[in-house]
Amino acid sequence: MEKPLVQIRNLELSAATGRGEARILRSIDLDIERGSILGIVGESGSGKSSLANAIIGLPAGNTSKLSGEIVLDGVNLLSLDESGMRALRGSRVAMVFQDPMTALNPLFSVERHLVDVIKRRFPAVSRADATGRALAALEAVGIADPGLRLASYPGDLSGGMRQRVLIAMALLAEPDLLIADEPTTALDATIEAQIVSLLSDLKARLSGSILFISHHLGLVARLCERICVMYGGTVVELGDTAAIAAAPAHPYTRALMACMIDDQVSDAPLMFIPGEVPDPVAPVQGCIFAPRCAHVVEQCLRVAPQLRDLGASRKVACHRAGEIA
Amino acid sequence: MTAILLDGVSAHYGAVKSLDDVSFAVEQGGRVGLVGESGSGKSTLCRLLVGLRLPSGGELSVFDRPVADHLRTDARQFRRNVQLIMQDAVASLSPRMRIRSLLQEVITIHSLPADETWRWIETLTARLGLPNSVFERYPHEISGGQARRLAIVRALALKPRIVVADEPTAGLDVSVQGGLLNLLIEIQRELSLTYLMISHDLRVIRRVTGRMLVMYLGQIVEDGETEALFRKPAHPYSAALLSTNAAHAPGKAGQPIILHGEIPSAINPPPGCRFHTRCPVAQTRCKTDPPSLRRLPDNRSVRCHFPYSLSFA
Ligand SMILES: Nc1ncnc2c1ncn2[C@@H]1O[C@H](COP(=O)(O)OP(=O)(O)OP(=O)(O)O)[C@@H](O)[C@H]1O
Ligand SMILES: Nc1ncnc2c1ncn2[C@@H]1O[C@H](COP(=O)(O)OP(=O)(O)OP(=O)(O)O)[C@@H](O)[C@H]1O
Ligand SMILES: [Mg+2]
Ligand SMILES: [Mg+2]
Repeated sequence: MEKPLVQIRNLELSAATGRGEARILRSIDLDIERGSILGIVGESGSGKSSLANAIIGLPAGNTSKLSGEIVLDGVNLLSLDESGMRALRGSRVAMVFQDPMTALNPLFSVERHLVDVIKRRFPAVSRADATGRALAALEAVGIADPGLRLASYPGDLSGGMRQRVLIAMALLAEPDLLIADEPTTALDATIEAQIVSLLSDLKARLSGSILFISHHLGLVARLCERICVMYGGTVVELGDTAAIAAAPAHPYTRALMACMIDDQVSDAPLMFIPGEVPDPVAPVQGCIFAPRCAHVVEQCLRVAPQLRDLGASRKVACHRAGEIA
Repeated sequence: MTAILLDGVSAHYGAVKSLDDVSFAVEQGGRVGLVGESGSGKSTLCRLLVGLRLPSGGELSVFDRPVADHLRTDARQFRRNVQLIMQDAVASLSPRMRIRSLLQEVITIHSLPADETWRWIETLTARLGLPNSVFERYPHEISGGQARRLAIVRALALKPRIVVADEPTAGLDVSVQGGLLNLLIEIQRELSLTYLMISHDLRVIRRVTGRMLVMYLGQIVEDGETEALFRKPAHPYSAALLSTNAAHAPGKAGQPIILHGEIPSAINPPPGCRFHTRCPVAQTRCKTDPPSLRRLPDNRSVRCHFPYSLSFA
């Protein structure tokens, strides 16, 4: 098999806070195969955006530790300096950020945002050609009046339009690795479907890979071959989407899937996972999910489970996986 | 009492007609959902309701008084009674303050009883599954979903009478979302709040609201009881929108109705019915004659010459 596009090994990320050091990512091991879409799901606060930001080389300002390896085509991104990383960003690696308003510059027009991406990626492109491409990209993401919208500023756009401008920017960069952090949260189902097919096209056309972060399990199931489930800064389960959907192995994955709202209208309260996500500043002994786990035994409180093989293409970090299936 | 009343309201940003002739009323204690295409004017409507903008035309009242009146005579009380949970949660938290100070500021501004309100804030925070330690963090030290829940805590801290929630569950995983929606419903019953909730997640709308409004290009195209509307939409746009939901339902083979044709301009809306350029069942009349929002015998209002002409399996 071809080597994965990205290999993440023993990635650790901590940040300094007024309350002590926050361990945000704990020993992450993860591969992103070439020409594939990997979905990342996990509870709010589990470290999905932090992982994405680490890959694209934009960790938070208060980062106190970033160690391990993120190898893209043989190059460890963590060993690159800022200018090396900047050269990669927007060309080989691009990202659609979770929070569109903070990712767009309110003082720049939509045209400037899009044309800047094109100019950086393809310096030889003429100004007129760049504007033409920018226009086509807005059209592709379903924005009406694209010609007029080029002159708009981020503050003049609706939430969903901003999100689509970010997607257009990422598509224009034609990256090898596209990271999309909750790219469709502000979009209605029709436009969401359009964006999803754009992403699939991008993968097919450019043989690039996509890291797709989403809380929308149905969408992840449709788009991604494999999924990675995160909890408390760790990977708790990894495997083929269909296999995980059919039989989730980790107790957190199961609890998560049980919470999906189905189409039944009933007066019973909605399901949720009681308890709180772990505070990244608090020390952890044993399994990080143990305090909320329905299957906890004494061993779970003492020993942190490693991510281990469960069959040929599945990994799970649970002492009791298999036993509780 | 009528909590919210709009009559022929419009809102223009330069040449963009974000809202055009919007009329509806919400009784106190109602839970109303607002759905519609991206850019159809939902967030604009929210901004009008909480007085962040005034309408360009038409009448807008809250608790039987024009919003402009409230703002003139007692802006602070109005701002306390009518809370907006913004779509852009992270940007709505000011970056240089700890979460604790952000929340305490709300108490000070509105001169609320400090201890009692803080206990209420702690209760809300815990019920949304956030650890107490979140108070000591700065906005950049929290995740997107945590920021969204804190924006909700801040809004509910004031025990408002009307809550306008713009995509309150966007970006939240299902396990957190369930707890959040239960909480919103419980508090609504406890305080007999009036909710207007926007969501692109139709399952959320169906679970939480009793009535829903469907918007298309700055106008309300359908208004009716949520469950009845989901079962049998009258407007072709509603049918297309809801068909995507039916097609996602597990074990159902429903086909989504795909809309073709260009997405129309909000600057130059199509003549006649605004939806005719993409409507699968449009007739000649629809191209020239704009329908008005009219009441059907089944307690439904619809802006269509030929209601119930498009249905999904
Ligand atoms: N710069 C930082 N300093 C300290 N703590 C942080 C920082 N950034 C994130 N955190 C904390 O680290 C954890 C992971 O945050 P992250 O934003 O990666 O979560 P996420 O999985 O993307 O969540 P969501 O689904 O809500 O967006 C959270 O508990 C968050 O509060
Ligand atoms: N401050 C502004 N200046 C100019 N135009 C604006 C402004 N705010 C909104 N608009 C325009 O008004 C229209 C409606 O926007 P609005 O934000 O209300 O849509 P929405 O229904 O909330 O969409 P979404 O689902 O994407 O959030 C859009 O065409 C938008 O570009
Ligand atoms: Mg995130
Ligand atoms: Mg909006």
